[in-house]
Amino acid sequence: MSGHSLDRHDDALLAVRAGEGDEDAFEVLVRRHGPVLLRLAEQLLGGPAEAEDAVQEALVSAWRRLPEFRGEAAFGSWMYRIVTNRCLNVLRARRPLTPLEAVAEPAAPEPQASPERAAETGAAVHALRDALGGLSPEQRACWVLREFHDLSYEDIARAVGISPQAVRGRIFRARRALTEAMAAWR
Amino acid sequence: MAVNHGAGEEPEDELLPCGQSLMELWEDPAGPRVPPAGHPEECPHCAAALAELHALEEFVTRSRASEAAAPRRELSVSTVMDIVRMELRPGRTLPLGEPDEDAWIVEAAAAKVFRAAVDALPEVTAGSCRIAPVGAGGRHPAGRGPVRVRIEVVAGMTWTVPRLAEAVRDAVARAAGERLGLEVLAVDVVVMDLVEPAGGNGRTPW
Amino acid sequence: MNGEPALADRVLRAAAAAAREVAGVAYLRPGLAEVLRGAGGRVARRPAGVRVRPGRSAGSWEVHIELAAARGHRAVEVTRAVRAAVTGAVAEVLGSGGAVPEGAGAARVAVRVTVTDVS
Repeated sequence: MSGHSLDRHDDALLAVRAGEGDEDAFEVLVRRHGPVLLRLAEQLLGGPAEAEDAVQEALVSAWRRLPEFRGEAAFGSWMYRIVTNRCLNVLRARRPLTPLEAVAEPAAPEPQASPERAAETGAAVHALRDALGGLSPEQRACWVLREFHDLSYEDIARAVGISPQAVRGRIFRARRALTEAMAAWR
Repeated sequence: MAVNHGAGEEPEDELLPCGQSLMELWEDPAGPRVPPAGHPEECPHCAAALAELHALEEFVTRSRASEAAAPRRELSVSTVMDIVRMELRPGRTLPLGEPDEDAWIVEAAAAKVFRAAVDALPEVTAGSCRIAPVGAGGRHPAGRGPVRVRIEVVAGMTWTVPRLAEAVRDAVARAAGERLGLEVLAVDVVVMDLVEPAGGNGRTPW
Repeated sequence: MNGEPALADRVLRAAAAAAREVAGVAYLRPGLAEVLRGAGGRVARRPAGVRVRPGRSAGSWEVHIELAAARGHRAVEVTRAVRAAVTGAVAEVLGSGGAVPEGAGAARVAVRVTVTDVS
C-alpha cells in the first residue's frame, strides 16, 4: 500500500487528491481522522455501535462529496460538520418530542450504558454521560464540541449549522442543565 | 433555579442576585469582566456561580482522562475503504501507446503515477493533477493523441520556482514515458506554495 | 440464439484466464455490478474486469479488459501483452468451437485494454 508514503502530507493536499479519485490519499485521511471522529460520535450518540455506523456513513458521504470540497474549510472541520450532522439526525429521530412539535410518535428509549462501562469509568463520569442524555441534540453537540474537542464558537457554529450567537446560548443552557444534574456529585 | 421562559427554545441569559450576567461570567471565567456598577470586588454570588462551573469542568477533566485511558476503539477502515473502492472516480479515459492501438488508461491512475514521481523529488508534494487530451480530432482517431498535464505542487524553500517547475516537468515526462507509455505534449506546473520544511510529519491540527 | 450465450461465456472465461496470467497484471478490475452480485452470493461470479460482445461482422468478437497494472511494469507494455494473450486465447476458443472457419479466429477478435489503476 502506497498510503504509507503519503502519511506526511497535509490534509489539504490529500483532500484534493482524494477528490480526484486517489483512494490511497483518502485512506490516509480516514486513518488520520477516523479515531477522533469515532470518539465524537460516541460522545454525541452514547453508544459505540451507532457511532461506528454514523462515522462510516459520514466518511463514505465525504468521499462522494470530495470533488466539490474545494478547501474552503480544513478537511478536519469539514468532517466534524458531516459527522455532527449525521449524529444530530440520529439524535433528533430518537429524541422525545417537545410539546410544540408533539404529533405523538413513540420515542426510542435513551440507551443505557453497560454495567462494565460504569464500573470502569467511575460513577461521576458515568453520571455526566447520563446527564448529557437530558440535553437537546444541539445543546449536546455544541457542548461536546466545546468541552471535549476544544473547538471555537465559530467552528462549532459551522459544524452544527447555527450562528455563533446560537452556539453561545446552547452552550450556556447545556452548562446550566449539567451543573444542576451534577449538583449531587459535588 | 433556571428561569423559565415558557415557549422560547433558548431562554436568554440569567442574572445573578448581584446583577452579574451568568452567561458572561461562565463564558470567560478567567477573563477580565466589567461588573455592574457598584459590584463588590469579592462577590459571593459570582464566586458561588464560578464554583459550580469549576465543579462541572472538573467532571469534564475526569471524563476526558478516563476516555484517554480507555482502550481506543478503532474505526474499521477497511469497511469504509471497501465501499470507497467500489465507487472509484476514474476521470477521463486517456490513450496509451500508438494512435492505432486500442489501449487506454484512466486519468486517476495516470495522475497517481505522476504524483508519486513528483512526491519522490526532495521536499516536493503534488496536489491536484489533471490530465486531458490536447484538442480533438485532427490526425488522430477519436479520443487519441497526446495529453496535457496540469499539476499543482507545494515545495520547500530550497527550491526556486523555475528549478522546481523544470524538475516537476522532467519527473512527469519521465514517468509518462517509462512507467506508462502516455504521450505528454505539455506539463503545466502550478507552484501553490514554497514552505518552510515541515518539522515532523506535517500533520496540521484542525 | 442456441450456442451464442455459451460461446460468449467461453470467450469471456478464456479472455479472463489469459489476461490474469500476464506478467504486470495486478488484478482485473471488478465492476460495481459484479461486486454486488458477488456479495449477494447467489449468482455465479462472472470473471471481473472482462466484457465481451459479438462484433459488427459476423463471427467476430469484441473484448474489453479492465485491469490494474502492477508497479514496476510499463503500463502500455502490459496492455500489449494482454492483447496478445487474450487474442490468442479467444482465437483458440473460436477455432475449436467450429463457429468460424479454421484459422480465422485471430482476425475476428478485437481487444480493448483499459488500465484502471496502477498498484
